[in-house]
Amino acid sequence: MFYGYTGTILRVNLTNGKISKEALDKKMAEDFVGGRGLASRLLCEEIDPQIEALSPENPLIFGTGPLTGTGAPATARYVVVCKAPLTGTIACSNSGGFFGPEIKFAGYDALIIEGESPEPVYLWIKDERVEIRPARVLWGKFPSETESSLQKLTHPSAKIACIGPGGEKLSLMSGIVNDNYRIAARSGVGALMGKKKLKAIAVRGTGGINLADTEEFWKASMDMHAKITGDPVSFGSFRAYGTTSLVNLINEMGAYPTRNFKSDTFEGAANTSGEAIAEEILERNRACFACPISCTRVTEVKKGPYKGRGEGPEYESTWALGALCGVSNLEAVAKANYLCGDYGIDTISTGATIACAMELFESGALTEKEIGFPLNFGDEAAMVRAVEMIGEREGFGDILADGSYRLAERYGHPELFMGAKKLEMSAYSPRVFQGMALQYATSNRGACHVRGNTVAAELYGVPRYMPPEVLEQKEEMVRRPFQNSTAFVDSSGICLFTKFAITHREICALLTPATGIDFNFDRSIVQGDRIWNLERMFNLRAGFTAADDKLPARVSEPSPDGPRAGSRAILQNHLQTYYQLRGWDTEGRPTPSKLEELGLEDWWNVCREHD
Amino acid sequence: MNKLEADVIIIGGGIIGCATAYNLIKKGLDVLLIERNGIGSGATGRSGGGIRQSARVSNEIPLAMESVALFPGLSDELGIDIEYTRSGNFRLVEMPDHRRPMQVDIARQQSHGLDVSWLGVTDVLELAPGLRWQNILGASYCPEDGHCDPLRMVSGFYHKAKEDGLKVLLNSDVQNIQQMDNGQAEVETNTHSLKAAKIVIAAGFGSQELCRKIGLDLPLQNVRYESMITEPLPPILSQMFGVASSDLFFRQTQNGGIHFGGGLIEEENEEDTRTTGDNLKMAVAHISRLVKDLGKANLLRTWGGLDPSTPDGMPILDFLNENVLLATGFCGHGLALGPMVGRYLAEWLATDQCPEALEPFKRNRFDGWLQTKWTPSGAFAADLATEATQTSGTGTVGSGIAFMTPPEYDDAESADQQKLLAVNPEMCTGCRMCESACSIEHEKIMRQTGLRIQVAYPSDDYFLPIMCIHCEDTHCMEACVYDALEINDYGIVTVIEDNCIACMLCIPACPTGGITFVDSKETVVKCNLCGGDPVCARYCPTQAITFRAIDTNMREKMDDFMSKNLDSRIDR
Repeated sequence: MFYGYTGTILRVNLTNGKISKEALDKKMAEDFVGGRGLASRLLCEEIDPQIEALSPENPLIFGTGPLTGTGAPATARYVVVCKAPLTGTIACSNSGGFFGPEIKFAGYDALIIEGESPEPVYLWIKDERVEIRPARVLWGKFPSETESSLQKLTHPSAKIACIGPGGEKLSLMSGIVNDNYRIAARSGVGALMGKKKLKAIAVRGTGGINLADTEEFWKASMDMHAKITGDPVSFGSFRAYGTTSLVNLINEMGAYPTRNFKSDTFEGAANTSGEAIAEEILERNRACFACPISCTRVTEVKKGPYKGRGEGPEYESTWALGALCGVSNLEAVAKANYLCGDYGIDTISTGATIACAMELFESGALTEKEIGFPLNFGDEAAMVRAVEMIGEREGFGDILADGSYRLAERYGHPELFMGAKKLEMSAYSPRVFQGMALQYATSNRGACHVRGNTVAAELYGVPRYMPPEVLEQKEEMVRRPFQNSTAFVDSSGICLFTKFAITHREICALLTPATGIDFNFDRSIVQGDRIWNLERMFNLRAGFTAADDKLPARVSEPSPDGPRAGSRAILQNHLQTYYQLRGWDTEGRPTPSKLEELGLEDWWNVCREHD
Repeated sequence: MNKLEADVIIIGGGIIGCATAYNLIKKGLDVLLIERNGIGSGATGRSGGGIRQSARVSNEIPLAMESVALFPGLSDELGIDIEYTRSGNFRLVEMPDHRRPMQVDIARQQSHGLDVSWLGVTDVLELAPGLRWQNILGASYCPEDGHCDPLRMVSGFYHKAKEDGLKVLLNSDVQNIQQMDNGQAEVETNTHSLKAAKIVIAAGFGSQELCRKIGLDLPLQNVRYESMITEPLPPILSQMFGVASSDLFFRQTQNGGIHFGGGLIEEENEEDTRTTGDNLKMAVAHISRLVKDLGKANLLRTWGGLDPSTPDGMPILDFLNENVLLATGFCGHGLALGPMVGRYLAEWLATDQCPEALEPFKRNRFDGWLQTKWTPSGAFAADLATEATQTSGTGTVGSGIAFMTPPEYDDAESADQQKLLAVNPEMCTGCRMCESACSIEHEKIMRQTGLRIQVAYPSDDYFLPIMCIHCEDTHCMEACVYDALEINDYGIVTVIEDNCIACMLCIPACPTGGITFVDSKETVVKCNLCGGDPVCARYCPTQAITFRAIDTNMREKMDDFMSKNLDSRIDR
């Protein structure tokens, strides 16, 4: 009998229509917790990391954590793991809403979707009943239409995860959209779903999640509830302004990358800040499953050319579609954000790709003839148009849809790609936040902010304040309290935003009574480390080397203006210290003794067999 | 020993002593002031400098309002710039838990005619752009409050009085006070023996000891405050600031230094002006969360001071015997009250008639007071302890964000009725935490079907928890033919599971959709208020569900919006 976990993994082969159920390996769950860790472990078992990402061999794994759906605060997360079409690294995109818990209620810890269907299909999971159904009528539809159609076709309260037209057209920036507006966006997981011709997954679960010790679990939940609702960041600013509460703050400290990272302060930031959103377009806030924070913004632009309604924009979306493109019109940014949602594409990569194109255009490497219209920084109408073209792969959008790395390469300016491992950086300037610089360079899915958001320490002082410019001890900070810790949190099924208010201790205090397995602080540190090293091994096996742990040259040059003019990202010496702290060799490879310590020696052997 | 004589001897050269002396001299009396150290060397000179009427206990508000009205004229009257700025006083709210009690407290202060209001964070920032908004939810704001330089103010009173003939003994320690046969009293210091008809004890934290010499033990306890000041910075704050969560205060002085600090509750009767690292660190950490760009400022100096406090947060102003008048226990409010208290005390001494305004401050309010240890508390903290956090506030704040909208109903009249679950869809964010709590509590498993409470989603911005509202009509009982539903004396309907055969006739009979069928049990289930402490209300993070007394009006309203949205309730 499983507690917390459901104990079942669902395997669906779209090539031959075979549906099977497998038991969860309890030892594996103990070692890799669940969610990101467990799904990554399953992926490593499924494939050789060297395979082509957009191929039928690459499975799409939906994973949930042992806490997902248990009703403890903020337990709404599910993850999507595969080899990333955009980057070629391991991909792990996660999302909240109500879809993750529904998978658990239906009785599954993870869904492994293999193969490739010849025709568009959707998957209908009602508890133990699983069907592959034709989806020709849904093909081409936006997520909101897909969801309402599917709820008519299946069950009115079914929860839906689907791709938009972006994913159908294999845009490498496309994600998987659930509950209309939430999206597991980065790394191009939507393209793989599109490649499999799987339009959507509809789930309805009527079962329950057993808890090993309900009394203890309830106590720990109430305790966490009190901590979160008493926290000024989680319950204060995120509730009042959502993630966009950061806009003014980061911009004021001169760490808000602007115009494709040319500068670090944006004069129009106030217009697109959380306060402006609250004032101008906010309808109300709403919550994911069991979340007291409720950072989601329901917004509406009521009239004008940018009329629309949806959720967000979130902080990174506001930034990528705003400051990064030099756009300070909130309604245009909101519209571009709604469009990204409709097409099911990642707002960060979309904004960053348009910004890259803008710079190429202004430098003369791209002409008006190629694009079809002038694409200058600050041109909001052109930016919104470009988003549409990307979603539809129409005209020049066909080139943009594959992300800024491929765009910059194609036009002979690879230095204008602002990211690492082909994934674009997000809205915290690595010139200012030295922790973020190291994190972007070493993150396992490319330059990403949610693999270890050191801004928590460098700005909010959680777990303790480390001034952004200081270099000392940043390696250890990035490694343990951020990268490893995030891996653990993502694996538990709880939302990362709670981390301002709680630590591993509270999460373990929930995990133990939920699962009946002894989770404790010390073990959680090792679990996080194990997951991180596993992902690293995947990437090394896929062909990445220490040479890929780098940042674009531009951020190593001094910031030209703003309150932190002159600051720059410093990496060189830190990488080696970081490798050393991780127990890796100078080439950034986990040493056999490190792998043995983490119980990953099997994986090392598998690697060698391939060599 | 030398013998000096005067009409009135004042012990203590702080703001109360000096202001009283100044007003007595104005009345033509012969006054002698005895001070142990120097003028303003005690609590006055070490104070925060806030001149406020807001955040006071109700009985003190009229006196504070009168006193604050004197401040604009004080600089001219005393011939010294006391650096008074009437820029307003904020009391910042950082925790959601403090927001509603604060709004209740504001309503209380407004009822005394005070111009104080609740400001949301954007309004606070507009007035005080130097604050870091991300840690602030809002604040109480009183525009007529302000701050001044305490040392300049006390020396103003002192020098003006001295010019007009005040006699002074500095560095003199009072050792005894005795009543004499001739109706006068004698004060013995280390150097002098002094006689007067009236003695005023305004000796701050030293007053307790002097009272004991007269044979009275009053409930006074010393609170140590620690303050510090930074190097001069460019002007960033003009108002006086306090916070709801602790004793922190801060202001920017006219030369630019940020003066801040807070209290540490400790009983210490020795003069102790130490500062403790821990307390300072806490204050620095706290203020850095609230004020922008303080990180780089250097601290110039730190100091501590003792302030006598009383259990109800108000001073004791009363005669201890025919000769001795006590004026102490100001709980940190002496600076603001000083000018008016000085006037009233002078009037009292000159006429032997207690001014009506000082009636609430007599010591008989502590008659029968048990000498147990108590924690001195400010007005707000005291209210926090007594007001239930479920009390709703007044006024509307902010827009669009659920947690900033106070509930629209409050029904004190029906307080003695049976408490029920009240639902406010405006506050609901659709998170379904109520469902989770209900499931774990009653089913001991986490599931989303067969629940006693369900969240309906009529639209993407309107969410509604639906459950049994224990209506007076009891349609469900009428529909049940198996006696499977019973009602108790308080009108709470529950299911008798043994009798229920799951015919489900009660389900469509319920107008709000409060009854559900559970297939695993083969009975229907409904809310039984968890036997008096509903978990859904406890777990709800936004107070969209509260457990409270409900009047008919509210019940009808709930009936209305639940039955109207019954269609959108989907059995999960």
